[in-house]
Amino acid sequence: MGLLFGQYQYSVIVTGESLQSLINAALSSSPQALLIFCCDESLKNQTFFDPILTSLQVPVFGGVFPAIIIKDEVVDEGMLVVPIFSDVKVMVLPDLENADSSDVDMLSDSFHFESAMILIDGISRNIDFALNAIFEHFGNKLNVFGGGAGSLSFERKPCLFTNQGLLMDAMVVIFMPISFELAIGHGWEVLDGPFLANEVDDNKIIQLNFRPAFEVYENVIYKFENKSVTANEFFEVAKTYPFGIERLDDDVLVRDPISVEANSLVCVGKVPENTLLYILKGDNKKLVAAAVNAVEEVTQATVMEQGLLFDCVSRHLFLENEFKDELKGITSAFNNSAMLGVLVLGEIASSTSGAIHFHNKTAVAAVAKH
Amino acid sequence: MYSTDRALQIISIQHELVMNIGLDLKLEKMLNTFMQRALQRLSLSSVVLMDFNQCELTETPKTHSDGNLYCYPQLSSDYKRKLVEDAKSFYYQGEVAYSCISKQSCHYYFLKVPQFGVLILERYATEIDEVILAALEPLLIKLSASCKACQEHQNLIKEIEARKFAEELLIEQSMLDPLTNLANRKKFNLDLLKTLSSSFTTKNIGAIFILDLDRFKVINNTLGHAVGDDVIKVVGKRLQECMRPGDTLARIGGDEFVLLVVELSVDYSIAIEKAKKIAKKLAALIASPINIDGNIFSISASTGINMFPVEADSVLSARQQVDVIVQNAEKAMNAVKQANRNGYSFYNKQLQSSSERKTQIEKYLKTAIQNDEFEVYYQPLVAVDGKVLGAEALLRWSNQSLGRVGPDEFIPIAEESGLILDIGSWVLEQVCQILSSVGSNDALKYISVNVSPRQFIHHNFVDSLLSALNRYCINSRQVRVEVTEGVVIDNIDLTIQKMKYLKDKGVVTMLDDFGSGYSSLSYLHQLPLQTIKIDRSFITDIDQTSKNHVIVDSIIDICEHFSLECIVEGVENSDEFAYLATKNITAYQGYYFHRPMPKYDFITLLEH
Repeated sequence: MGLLFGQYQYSVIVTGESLQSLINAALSSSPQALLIFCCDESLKNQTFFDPILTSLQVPVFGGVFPAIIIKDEVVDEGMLVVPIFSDVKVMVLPDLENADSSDVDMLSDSFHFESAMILIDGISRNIDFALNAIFEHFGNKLNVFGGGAGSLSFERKPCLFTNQGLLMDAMVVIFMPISFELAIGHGWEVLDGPFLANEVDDNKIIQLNFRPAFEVYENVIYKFENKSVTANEFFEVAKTYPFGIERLDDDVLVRDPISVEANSLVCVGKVPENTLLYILKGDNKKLVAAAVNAVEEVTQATVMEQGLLFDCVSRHLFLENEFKDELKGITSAFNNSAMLGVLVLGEIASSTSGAIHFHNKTAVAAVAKH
Repeated sequence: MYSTDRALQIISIQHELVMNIGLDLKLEKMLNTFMQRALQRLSLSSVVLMDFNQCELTETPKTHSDGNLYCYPQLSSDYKRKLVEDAKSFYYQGEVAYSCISKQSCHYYFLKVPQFGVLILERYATEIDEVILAALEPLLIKLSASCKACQEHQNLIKEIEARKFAEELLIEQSMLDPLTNLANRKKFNLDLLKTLSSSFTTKNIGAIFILDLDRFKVINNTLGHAVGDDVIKVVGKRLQECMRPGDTLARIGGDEFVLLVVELSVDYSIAIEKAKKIAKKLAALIASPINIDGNIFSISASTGINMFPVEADSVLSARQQVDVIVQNAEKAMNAVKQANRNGYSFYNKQLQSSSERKTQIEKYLKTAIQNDEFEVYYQPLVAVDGKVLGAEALLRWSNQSLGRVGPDEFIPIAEESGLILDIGSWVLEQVCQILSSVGSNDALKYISVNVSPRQFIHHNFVDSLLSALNRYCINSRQVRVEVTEGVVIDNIDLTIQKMKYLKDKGVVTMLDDFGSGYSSLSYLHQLPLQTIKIDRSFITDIDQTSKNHVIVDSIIDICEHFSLECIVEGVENSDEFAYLATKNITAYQGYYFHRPMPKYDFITLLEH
């Protein structure tokens, strides 16, 4: 097959004129679709997007993210327009908060596809529901990858690019006839557990082992790391100690605790009730190694062309300068083939069994197979 | 895998999965929650539950919720078919709790769900530890119980829904007219009530149209009720063409329809204009010829219209308004009937006052006999030479409050209220008295008495007539009975029977106002008549009107043909008489000869 994407167009300035100019340049290579990544920091004015996006004659998709990854560089300003040389079918599930499975059933499956990139509003409440509905409807043979768009400030605002304009609280599914291999790695290790999450409300852990979740959590951190956790400065400490949901014979699914509400711990992503949870610990080198190894495993077994990386924004925050090593490692695993990516609010990937998972603090690379 | 407490892991899997069983009463939703959780917790590729209770294994399921196969996620038909075959083999293995089939990199675990079916877990690459599989056994018992509970619940819901549906159907049927499938009066009243409630707030003016088919009884009596029913059905269908969404068309009587038209306008004059257009459209729809088995019918309707909400002097509830609106539309329709039929009329205040006068008349009629307010006048019938042959008894009424009230006004009210029976008896009594007092007089062969439809069909009419004749020792030939065509049309079989009986007893029956009403020749030969009175409308200016010549000549010919006496009434001048004098007419009646006169004047006339 040919290349998935062509020469990308980048501009540090985000205005209507610059967008139009990048689009014109990208369209000069006659692509079948356009992918747009835009940095949240650069997006001061959103009004110019709708008229440009809605007038485009080719499918367009993309989103606003905390940062863009170009090869091994994290770019936190500007925007990227990428020509896509693949037949794509873009479907939008709007109003995610009120969607039900019948809305997903209405998405046509007449198009022949192997994979789907999912870009979703990372602040929406119904992410797990939407992913389950996609899995239920399209089955376990569809390879899915993607991530959550939006701002690190967690402010709700439009963050998804489509031919319908700039959308919020939506899911954009980009079906493609191309096969991808997925590399999923996080490197977080068990600090303590398991704990029974006996009382949970969606993304809020209320009780662990029949005790208030925050109490259990702060005791563990103090016991093993000799650190005090306070509700006020919770995230500063908690970003180093996420939860892991146990899955039989599989790697744990990471859940990022971000705040404390009345002795309950609020996570990014749903936590199932009565499941087993571990408290995890991160070591910078191990985290980097896990992500790089996962990508290497795939790239070594695949005659690959290009790659798309959806790396968690909190890995970037946690690893700080060492995040550069992760990107270098991944880029190197790509053997200098083109790789583009974004820092996301939650990563989406199909597991080897086919189930679609919403990850936290994880790196997901989609490698386009030759 | 991490170094975990194995026992806690097993217990937590059991606990987590058990806690996700039975979370919904709908089987599909309940299983979806459980399967979703199992798929994620056990790192599976798919979960399938086959229900062996619902249908045979040989049946090929089509979708993930087709009665006996529940899948998460959706699976292809071929895939499902293969799973069904494997599940069937497993099911008949007897006591085996679970088994595994491995194909390429996939492992399929078949687990028995006691007394329900088989749970199939698909795992990619790594096999599931036997200890975990054994740990799943207890939760399969709960899964079975929950599935059965859901099914029972669903069956119960289905039964309740079926019952509810049947009840709704019955209610719906009780609101329908079985002949036309249109709404009936009950449904119409409910719809009008509902419309009224909203029109109070929206101030939107609507209208009801009551349509009564003109002379429909003729069709029923001459061609039978089956044909009549077919005509009604056709009319019903046609009227439906006038309906807009929200309107109601109902059949509220044998040949009576009512159309409720909502939201014509908030402006009264615009609403009236629209109602007129609708009335014209309804008339046009009905007027178009109807073909029933080769018989072509041209019919018309009298339509009464009333706008709503009504302006009332007193505050009326919505329910009271319904009654008033319908009554008023009926009054308007009756006004059309009494006029020329085949038209429409809006209810107005005049109709209201005419209705109030009717009420007054009815009230005073009740005491008219005991207050001696009636008087019988006699108008002679003469031969061509002017010699008195007989007379027609004509009732006159003078009331202290109402003054003189004409028979055209009070007779229909007496008829409608039933007072006509007593009044008729009183008139007969008066006629018998005068016949008795004048004795056998060559100058007076008979006195005819007008008998209304209600009087004539009354079961006691013939007996009371004969009894009065007997009481006064009067020859039955001396009293004649005058009936209108309406009497005949209302009940032809009973009329024939009574006329025959009267004829056998020597009482002559005369058909009054012939030509003005139905004038159907189809029944004329069936009736045991002896006399026909040609309606006065044909006699007026007969010397000048050639059209009436044809009609009168024809009726005279018919009378000759059927050997009937022919009488003309309403002869008012010498020219009219001059024309009629040459015809084969038995008797003449009219102002030209004698006006109706009081009893003593009449006796004096006879004596001279």
